[in-house]
Formats: sequence, C-alpha cells, structure tokens
Amino acid sequence: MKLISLHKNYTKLIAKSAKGDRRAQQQLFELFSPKMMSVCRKYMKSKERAEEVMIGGFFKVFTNLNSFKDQGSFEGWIRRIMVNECISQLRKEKKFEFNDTFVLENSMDHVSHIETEFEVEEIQKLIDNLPQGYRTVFVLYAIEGYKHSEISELLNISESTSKTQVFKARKLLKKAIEIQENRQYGTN
Amino acid sequence: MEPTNFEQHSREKFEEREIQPSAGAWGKLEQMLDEAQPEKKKTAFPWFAIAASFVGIAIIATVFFNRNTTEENKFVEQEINSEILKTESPLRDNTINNDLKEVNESVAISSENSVEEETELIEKKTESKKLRTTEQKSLIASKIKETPVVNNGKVLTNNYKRESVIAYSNVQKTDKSDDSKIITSQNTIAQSGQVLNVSEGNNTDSKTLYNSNLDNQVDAVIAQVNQLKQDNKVITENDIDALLMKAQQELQLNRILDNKKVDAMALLGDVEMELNHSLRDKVFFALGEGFDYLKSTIVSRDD
Repeated sequence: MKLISLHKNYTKLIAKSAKGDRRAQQQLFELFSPKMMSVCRKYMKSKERAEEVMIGGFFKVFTNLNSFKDQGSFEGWIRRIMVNECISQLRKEKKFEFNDTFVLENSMDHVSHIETEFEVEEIQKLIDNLPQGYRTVFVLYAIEGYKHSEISELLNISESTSKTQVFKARKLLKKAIEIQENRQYGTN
Repeated sequence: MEPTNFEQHSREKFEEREIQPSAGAWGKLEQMLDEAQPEKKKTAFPWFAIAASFVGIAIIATVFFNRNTTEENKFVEQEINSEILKTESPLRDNTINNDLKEVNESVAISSENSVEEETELIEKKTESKKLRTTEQKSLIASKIKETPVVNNGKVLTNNYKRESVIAYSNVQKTDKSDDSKIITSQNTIAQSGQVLNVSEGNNTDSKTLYNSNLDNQVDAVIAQVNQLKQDNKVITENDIDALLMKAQQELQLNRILDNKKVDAMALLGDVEMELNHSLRDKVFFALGEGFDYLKSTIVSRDD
C-alpha cells in the first residue's frame, strides 16, 4: 500500500524526471537514495562502494525512465535496477566463487531459529563476513525473496548451485550466530 | 526469549533500514547526467518546433493568398480591357472631331466598318516671307488584330480589329530669294478605329468620365493654339505636334491614375504611342535624307 501510494503521488515527478528536469530528478534521488543505499550495502562490503554502485544505478534509472511502465511500483523497479547494478559490479570484480559439489541435506534447519534479536548492523556484519558468492545468493534468496530459478538466471548459474550457496551461507551464519550468542551469554 | 526466525528477522530489519548517502552523491550523479543528456537541449526543443511550425504556416498562407490575388487581378484586367475596347476609341475620335471644328480646322472622317478621321490642322501663309525648302509626306499604317478571348469557359467574341492609319503630310515651302516664308503645314491624321463585337453591356460611368477628361484636354490644346495665334507667332508643325503629344500623354496618365488597379492595356497603349512616335520620326528623317539625296542627284544630272 505504501509503495502504491508513493507511486501515485510521484507520477508527475517521474514524468518531469523523464524529460530531464534536474530538480525533479534530485527530488526522486533524495526520496529513494537512503533505501537504495541500504539495498546496495547488503551486496557491497563498504558504504563507499555501496554509494558508488547506487549512483551508477540511479544514472541508469534516470536515463531509462521512459521505459518504466505504470504497471508496477516505481520503488520495486528502482530496486531491481540497483540489485542488477550490484551484481554487474561484483561480476566485473570477479568476486563470485561458486562451488556446487556440496550435497544438500536439511538445509532449511540450519539457521531457522535464533535466540537473540540482532540489530541490523550486527546482521550486516554477519553477512559481510560471508564469502562473496555465498553472500550474494543468500541475500537474494533469504532477504530479497528471489526464487532459485530467478537467481540462476540473474547470476547465470544453475539452480542447484544457487541452492548449495544458500545452504553453505546458512551453515556459516549459524556458526557465526552461535559464536555471537555464546559470547553474549558468556559476557552476561 | 523465544527463538526467532533469523531470516525473517533480518528481512524486516533491512526493510526498515535507510542509509543516507554522502553530501556529494547528487553532485556526482548530476555531473554524469549532464554529460549524458544536457538539460537545455531537451527543454529548448519544443520552442524550436513551435517556431518552425509558425514559419511554415506563414509561408503556406503567403503563397495561398498571393495565388488568389493573382487570379483576381487577371479577372479584373480582362474586364477592364473589354471596357476600354468598348468605350475608348470611338469616344475619343468623336470628341476630337467636334472640338477641332470649333477651331475652324477641317476634319474629314471616312469610315469603312470603322471610324476614320482626317484632320487638317493648320494651313498658314505669310506673304512677306516665302521660303521653300522641304516637302515631306509620311504615311504610317498599322494594323492590329486580336483573337477571341476565353473567359470563365465562355467565349467572348471579342473580335477586336483595329486598323489605324495615320497619314501625315507636311508641306513646307520656302523661297529664299524673297526672304519670305510660307509655311504650309498639313496634318492629316486618318485613323480607322476599332470594330468591336463584345457580348457584354456598356459602362456609362467610365464613358462619361473619360469624355470629360478628353474635353478638358482638347480645350486646353485649343486655348494654347489660339494664344499662339493671338501672339502672331509662327506656328510650326513641330509646335502643334508637341502640343498634341503633350495632351495625349496627359490623357494617358490620367487614365492610368484614375484606375485604382494597374491597367495593362493602358500601359501597352502608352508604350505603343511612344514607339509609333519614334518610328514616325525615323521615317521623317529617312524621307528627308532621301529627298535631299534625290534632289542633289537630279540637280547634278541637269548640270
């Protein structure tokens, strides 16, 4: 509902931005950049890197505004562009390392339940510590809600590889969370 | 604490998170956008398009209205031509006849399917001086024929046939021995007017207007001739010619000026008059030279 109302309210702003109106573009940037910084930060290890990628993503948004259809939400459209930009950037840097020889077994139970409610920055640190390949697939699948079929197309990998990456990421996260919790309980 | 789904918890936390970009983030993006798509170029485009469309409309309108005006002029021109042909020549000739009679000049009109007019202007003798030098005669004949005019799909039988004969004879006799001069000048202008078959009605207004103008001009010429007579000056053929030419030019000018629109026939008539004049002069000159040559040849043969 929030996205729909936002889209309806900013239709004129989007139209002006599509015609190259800098003020309208700046307003859209100020409205959506904090959210998109958060999206990019999930894939990129630093805030600076996330900002660079986000600026590149917004450049593509403003130069391709005419291709935006009124059917979907504007924020969802921008978010997809940002994710694609992040993946494209990571591919350029050759940060992907996929190893799909791992046998999947009860992968969903590894980090299903945790005792502690982590703050967002603590979760971000846990994700940052994952290897890049694991992290990207995990964020896409567990945080962004992509399906394995979509991830396989997006990253040009097989679905089984996507599933393996998610399993490995969960296993590593579980270990990291247990260490975190043991440290908390030990200190308390 | 109850166990929490880590992934669900993470999703909610990330959804709420917002990270403010640095202060220069928009500046960097704006610079990239300026390089890729200059703002002024996009905003200026509609104005150019509007201006271009206005210019295009103006050109089309000008061409359209000009074409209409030209067609209208053609129609008016043709109408006036027929009016002139109907009224002009017979009236002018008649008026000249009447007025010249008043000055005791002989006018002879002979016609054959047309109006012909012969005017004997001046014959004057001065007894104290006799001079015989030259005798010149000239005859200028011109014939103009015009074919039918098609107007609005209707053939007007404007069989316009004009035949004009200007006979001009000038006799001058001079006797050097008596120191007296006899100048006999005889101007005979024979004009056969125009035979017109026009299937349209007459325009009485233009007739009256032209008639009055003609009367005024002829009156002025007569007055000048009388003035010269009273002054007992010798009136040469050249003087009379000059007066008649001047009067005719004024008439032509008035006729052109009276019409609000340009009358092509009037202009053509004007040019023809000048052309005839120059032709006449040339003939006179040629005849004079020929006569002198003939005379000298005969004299030398006699010797």
